[in-house]
Amino acid sequence: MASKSAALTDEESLYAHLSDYLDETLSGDAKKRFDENAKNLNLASVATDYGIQRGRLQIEAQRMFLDEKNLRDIHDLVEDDASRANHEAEDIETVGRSELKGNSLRFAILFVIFGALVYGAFVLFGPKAKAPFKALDSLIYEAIVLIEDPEGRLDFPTDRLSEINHYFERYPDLKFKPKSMQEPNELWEVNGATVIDYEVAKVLATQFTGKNSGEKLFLFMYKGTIDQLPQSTPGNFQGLVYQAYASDRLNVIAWQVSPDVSGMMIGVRGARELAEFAFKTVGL
Amino acid sequence: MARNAARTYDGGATAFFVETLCQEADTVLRFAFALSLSEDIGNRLVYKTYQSIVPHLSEFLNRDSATIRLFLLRRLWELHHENDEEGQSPDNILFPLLRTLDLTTRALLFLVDVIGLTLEEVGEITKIDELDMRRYLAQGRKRLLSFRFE
Repeated sequence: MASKSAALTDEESLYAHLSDYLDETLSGDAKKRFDENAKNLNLASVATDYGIQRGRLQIEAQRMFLDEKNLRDIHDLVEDDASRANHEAEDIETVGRSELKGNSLRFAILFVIFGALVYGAFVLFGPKAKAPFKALDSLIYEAIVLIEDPEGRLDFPTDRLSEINHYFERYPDLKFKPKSMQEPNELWEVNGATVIDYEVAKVLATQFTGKNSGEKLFLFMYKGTIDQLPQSTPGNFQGLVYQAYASDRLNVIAWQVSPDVSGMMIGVRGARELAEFAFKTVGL
Repeated sequence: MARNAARTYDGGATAFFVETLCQEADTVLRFAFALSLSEDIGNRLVYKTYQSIVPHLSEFLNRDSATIRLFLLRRLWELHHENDEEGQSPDNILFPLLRTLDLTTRALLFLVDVIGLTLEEVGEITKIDELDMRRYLAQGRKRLLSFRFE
């Protein structure tokens, strides 16, 4: 158990305020104390390390979910036998009514169903459209390169997101319509953007930096669907459904920006925070 | 599981329970695992939590999702403390991390760093004062930082 005392030790204070530091909610004095503690305790990278470990903890926790049987047992707490029987009877009646349709209608329906089944089977089991490039590996690499050399990689340096939106909109031969971005909040500033040309696909990259922390976040958009990515843990932030991934240095979320455009948010923050940033910047 | 324990709910209340309250079931399960260290016990705790709120269903109608989530987590916390039942799920990747932490520390770590509650919200659940919450959190995070995910 944690022992009680009047105040936190420097080490306790450092660890206890890690999320506040990452979220940039510490006051000037508290942030100064945090930085001094980190320096004195030789834990200069503690915030970055914590961001990565917390992201991994969140991803692993998201792998736990209630299975169908247990969820059904909970639903049964409020759905009584009579209601369930009524619902089943209604279902049977609906099916029965459909059986009364004329032969021609029945044949038409059967034909449509057969067609849908063939189409469904083709979609499910037929050859999948190949991903134009290995987005996950490639964009994690790009993020790392951008962190190490931001000046040399941003073709369009600017601190105005509206200019980047315009830059992307008029970029030639993109083959998809990029979604406009909005300012996330006052804690972040945009540094610029670039279009990465992989020959088989063009990727829009935008870089954000925490005004106080210097933390980098990268938003990528490219033509594709997220089912072309490896299966991963799903998440949902206020309707933004995403898949979460982690490398040894960075966390990643991927989501479907529009039917033919995928988005990827990469940074040291946890998956949910990346999703929140994506939600604020790109929206649903 | 006990079935048909409560049978007097109209369609609206039933839909609210299934479509709104049960949306939080996975979050409740994750916290239940953090407390019990066992997926089986965690599943039972989730069921007990929902079972215990069914008689009060009408009180939740028109409440916002944050309030509902907080209430479910507080109820789970209370139910767990009635038996303090713990088990083992060694196959779970988080088990080696959590088993080295005391109950309150792993509860704080999950509520803040996984579920994303504020300390004020966590205080409503655990009734622990802020200084001690930060102390528990510091312990949990120190361990998290030294933990190697396999």
